Amino acid sequence: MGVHKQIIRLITEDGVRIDGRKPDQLRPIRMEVGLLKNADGSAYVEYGNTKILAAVYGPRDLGTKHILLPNRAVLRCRYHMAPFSTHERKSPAPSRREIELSKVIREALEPAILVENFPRTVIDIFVEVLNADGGTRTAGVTAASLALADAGIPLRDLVAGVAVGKVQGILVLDENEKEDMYGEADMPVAMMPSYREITLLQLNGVLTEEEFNKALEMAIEGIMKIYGMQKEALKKKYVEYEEVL
Amino acid sequence: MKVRHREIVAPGDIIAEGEFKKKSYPNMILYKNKLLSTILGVVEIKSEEELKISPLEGSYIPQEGDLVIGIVEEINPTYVYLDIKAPYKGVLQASEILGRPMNPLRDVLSDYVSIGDVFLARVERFDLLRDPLLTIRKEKGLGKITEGVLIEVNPTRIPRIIGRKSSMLETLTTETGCDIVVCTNGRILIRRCPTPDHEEILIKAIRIIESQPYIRGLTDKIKEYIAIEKVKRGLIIGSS
Amino acid sequence: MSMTPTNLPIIPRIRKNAILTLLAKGTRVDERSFEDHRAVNAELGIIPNANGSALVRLGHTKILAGVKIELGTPFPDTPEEGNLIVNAEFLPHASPVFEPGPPDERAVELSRIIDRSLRDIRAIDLSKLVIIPGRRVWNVFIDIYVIDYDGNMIDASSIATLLALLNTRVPTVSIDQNTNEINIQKNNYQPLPLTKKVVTATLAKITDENTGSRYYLIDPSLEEEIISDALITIAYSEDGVLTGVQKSGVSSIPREDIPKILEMTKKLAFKYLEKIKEISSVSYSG
Repeated sequence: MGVHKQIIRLITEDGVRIDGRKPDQLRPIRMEVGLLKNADGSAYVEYGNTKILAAVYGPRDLGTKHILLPNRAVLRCRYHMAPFSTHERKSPAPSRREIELSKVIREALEPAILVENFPRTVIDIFVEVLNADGGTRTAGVTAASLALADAGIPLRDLVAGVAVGKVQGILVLDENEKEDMYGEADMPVAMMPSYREITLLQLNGVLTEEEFNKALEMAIEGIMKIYGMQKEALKKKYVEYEEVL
Repeated sequence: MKVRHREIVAPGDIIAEGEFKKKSYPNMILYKNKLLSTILGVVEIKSEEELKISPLEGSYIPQEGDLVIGIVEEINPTYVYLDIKAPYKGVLQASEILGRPMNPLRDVLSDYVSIGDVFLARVERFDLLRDPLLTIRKEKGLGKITEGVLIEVNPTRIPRIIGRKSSMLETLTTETGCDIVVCTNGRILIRRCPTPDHEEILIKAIRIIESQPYIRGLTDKIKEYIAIEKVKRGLIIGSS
Repeated sequence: MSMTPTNLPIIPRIRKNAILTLLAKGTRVDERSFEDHRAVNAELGIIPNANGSALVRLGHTKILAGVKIELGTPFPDTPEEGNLIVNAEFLPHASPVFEPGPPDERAVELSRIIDRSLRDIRAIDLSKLVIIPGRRVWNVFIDIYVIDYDGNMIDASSIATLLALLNTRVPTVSIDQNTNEINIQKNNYQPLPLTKKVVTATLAKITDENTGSRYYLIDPSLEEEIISDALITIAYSEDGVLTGVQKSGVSSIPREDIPKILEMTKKLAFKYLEKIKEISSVSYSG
């Protein structure tokens, strides 16, 4: 963030980005649900080269009763980057960024989970970044949300997220890492689309009020598309069946 | 109505729009004038008013009256904890195990139960504030299980394994000749099968139901499947 | 691993209802209007060993921000820039629920919010903190100490940080031409190259479950913060651009509330900046 020597031309005058995308275009997105045997719920999501594996265990009890709440489930959330996920190897110890993002992601999912249905239990959410190329926290929220649904945990809605960046003055949807690093702003957003409620909102960088509003609208459009993909990914396992008999 | 009978829905999907008589619907949320699903499940529309979503995933949540199979996990002085495949542990009190009030000076529970023991029990009481209380005394057949094969299935498939008016369970029992105890918490006890082959066929059939719960005419297909398997193994004579 | 907080101070239902009743009537518990922040008081330069410091009181919330300027080496990808490092600690003194030990996730979040608000708009001109390009630069350490928690630590910390930076003096150095040794001159200081003033403005969202009404309160007190279900913080620079946003808390923000939130936070930020101007000019008069 904030490296302002623009040796790289990130976007042309016609609005073509370094990976050939238009400003309002998402990267190729892939979603797979229920791929892990042991986890109660799991999902694998790709936004371009950003690859996230999410798993959910719960609701479950923990044995130690003192951390539980009497009227709702406690959520525990871990956002972690694999050491091989970044250009330079990242130490496995939790960084301050991972600590903050674990909180931000937990708070992006809590509004959606019907935690009152499971008092005195814990729901564990694990988001692991296997390859990082920008937008890891929003892809992480999207994946965690699928894993929660796969675990059968009742949700008000799925949560879908995407980030909007500003690159050489132009707002771009779903920025990759280069765009994030050399751009002027990065705004991750996540929402419960059926209610138009925002559950994750951050701005890293500088935007005027007008740019902020435009970026938010752009993010919401991207979120609606991702939401549709989430629904498809969840139902896929059941809709395409083969006759075993 | 925005969905068809037997349609698969995900959290956030609109099930129906308009005026609704009831204030709350299980597995659904009323938002403005829309009913939204809260789970991944199958919609069942029995009539205009009778709308249900059967979950395709999810853990077992105990309800009073449920028949469950629990495995002893922890032995405390006056009660034991059973794993009942739920986010809450089942509690079996000493008096239930001993069949009489417990004498703390003389009775040592670990003389009567061990970790890993399997019990068939009923959920007597559960109110989310305390762990579910189990009983093994109130009816015949409950108690420690000492024979048979225990298989675990996704608890959301249990209604399908029992079937409407027990039709599926009856088919399984009649066609395989096994004694089958199906518990709400996703555990099935299989006992006294005529031959090991029958047992194997039964388990395979259960796995098929588990993986394809929503196929139409599943009961007939399972009946057919069992018959074919029996012929394959030479258990009955028939055209294969 | 982040966990739903289980040790927050408890507000009895009766008290929560009393607060909600007042809100419905348009008043707050401490008789503030919805437009007022709590009184801001500050003492500058109170830590002699720090290069800059400020103790800020926002209501009863007390934050001590200390700035240390030390010799350092630049990061490989920014050889011609000094470094900014922001850290925050919740002292166990500050609240019955703060425990000693590694930084609470909220402390990490707080430090990163303040850091981002300054860094991306280049409020501190790090290029002016280079001694020997590629080799020696100044590191600006900002340490934020929460010493009494009565709500809205974020804004109080942001105000304390800005005042401490305004108060910060950077030593002058001379470089020996022959040996390349750096000599730090005693008693010869310059102000920190601060190009823009930046401050955060935080609102608490409180929902009345019975009526469904939502309230957004500026500069929440501790009670208001505890009964709130979300906080929204927006950092503004003195030229009115947004230099940071953070939603925190377990609830969501309706999209339709965003324009109102932008308006309220901007107004609040400018009120804070006015106050900061007042405080810092008083200190520097004469």
